[in-house]
Amino acid sequence: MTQQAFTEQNQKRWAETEALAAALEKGGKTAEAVRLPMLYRQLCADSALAQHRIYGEKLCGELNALVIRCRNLLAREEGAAAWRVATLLLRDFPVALRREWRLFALAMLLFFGPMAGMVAAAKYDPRWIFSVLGPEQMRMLDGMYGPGDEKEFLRGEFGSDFGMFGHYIENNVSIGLRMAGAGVLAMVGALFALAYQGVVIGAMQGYVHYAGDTEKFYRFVSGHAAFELVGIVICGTAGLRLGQAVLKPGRMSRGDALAEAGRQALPLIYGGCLLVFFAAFIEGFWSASPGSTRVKYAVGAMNWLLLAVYLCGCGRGGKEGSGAA
Amino acid sequence: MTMSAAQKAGEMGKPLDTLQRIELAEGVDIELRPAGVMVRACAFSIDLGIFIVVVILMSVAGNLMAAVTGEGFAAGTMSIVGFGVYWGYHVFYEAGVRGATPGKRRMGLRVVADGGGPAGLGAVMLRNVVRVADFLPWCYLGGLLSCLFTRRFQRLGDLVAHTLVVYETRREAVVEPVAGMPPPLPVEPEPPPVTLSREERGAVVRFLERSGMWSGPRRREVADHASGLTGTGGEDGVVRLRAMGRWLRDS
Repeated sequence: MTQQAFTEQNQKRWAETEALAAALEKGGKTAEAVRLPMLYRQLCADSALAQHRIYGEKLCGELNALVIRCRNLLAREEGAAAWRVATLLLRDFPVALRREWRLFALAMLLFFGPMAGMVAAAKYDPRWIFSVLGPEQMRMLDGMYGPGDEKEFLRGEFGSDFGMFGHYIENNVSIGLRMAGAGVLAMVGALFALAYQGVVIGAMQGYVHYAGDTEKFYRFVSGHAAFELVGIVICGTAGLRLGQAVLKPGRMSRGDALAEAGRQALPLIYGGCLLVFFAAFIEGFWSASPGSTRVKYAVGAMNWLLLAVYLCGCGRGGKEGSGAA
Repeated sequence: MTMSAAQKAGEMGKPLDTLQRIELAEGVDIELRPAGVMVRACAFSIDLGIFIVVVILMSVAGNLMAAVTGEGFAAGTMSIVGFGVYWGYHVFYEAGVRGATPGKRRMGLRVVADGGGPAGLGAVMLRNVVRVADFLPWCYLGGLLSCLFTRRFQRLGDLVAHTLVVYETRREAVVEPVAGMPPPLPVEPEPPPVTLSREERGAVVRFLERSGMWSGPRRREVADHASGLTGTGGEDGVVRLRAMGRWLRDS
């Protein structure tokens, strides 16, 4: 069969397929959509024939492009968003974290180690703290945790509860995402960022121990500390996981190892960011609110406990590894 | 998966072209053409332009809002919207039906999974989170190096997410004669003197189709490479090769 005869015989169907694909790509819902699988299979057969018979590049190219378009429409992941979020939160995220517990432990150490060091410096050698914090930050900390109303001070800085909330989301979740992404550079990005955040946060905490009112400080941070700090550390863990594929690909090629690491790190990125996001809610709307110190501490302790139970216990006994990717 | 000539040649260290041939479950091969650094940089520049416009509009809207709702609420909203735009712009568009940001669409590009299908939200998320590493140490130098040293022009984010940036339609499919080039003489179909392999037949047909895009001397130069087949050279070789191409294609 000549190319011309082949084209004449089939082009009406190709035009129909293309029109249907165009309509579906625009997001339209037509009853015609049920015809797509059949048209697609016929198109595949035509494309294979055209390639086999070497029917010119133009025709083969057009059929190739149309096959790809139809396939994209058929293979699209759609719907069940709520189900996928639930699977992620209730199973994939905690399971993924427990699978990477070694890296998580390393990340915790890298983050909380320097932090504890800086707090200890408040007692033994505050020059460490001064070398980290600039005068501007010390002024801010004096304003927040020195004498005076810290809520008023924060409001002055950010305008309102909602302003604070927005600022925390932008700042903290961005830090988490950057940490995860930069980790792919042989872990260096995540290692550095974790330790850096530990040093800075520790220095602030240490400065309050040195010069401020610790009760005020802990009353403010206790509510969201668990979710925020652990969320950031989990984002760092995701970064370490990506970097591990570069450093130690095991029996896979580095390319395959990276892709595998991506699949395993993805729930950690989602989960870590959601924790930080959640912490921003608490930080914006609850942490600075008035209330007795005892209640604040109790809620803080409760949050640590809840988080530990969630991360250690959730998703056990289910099928593992189907992933949200 | 059957290996195409291009892949075989690639494994021997001699890539013929950048086409990626992938066999689908439906039993047909599709061809993807990964996009190079330059066209992707152009697409990114367009996206950057859009991003800058959005940021300017946002600051105007933020100031207007501050007058109505008060400083704090406006600042909070703008922080959240800014965060959403900064991290979500690429994710939103690349995970969408077209698989491309406006800049990529303008340049005819698309993000696909490396099997040729749509990339999916998770993969798109990953490739954009790792963008940070591609940007380092300065102005996407990391991504540039990664693209130059991988066969399918993948930046680090693409490697992690198993994605490719490809041309949406094969540019190569455009084989219309180019204005200004002398049109080749019409020829009558003529069978080749020996049995040709599939690849060889493909090459002859492609010569027929593309010869309208080249100048006369260029046509002769290419046809001279097949003088073993045509038994002659120069303009005669061009005519004979095109005649065989017509015979192979049209009969």
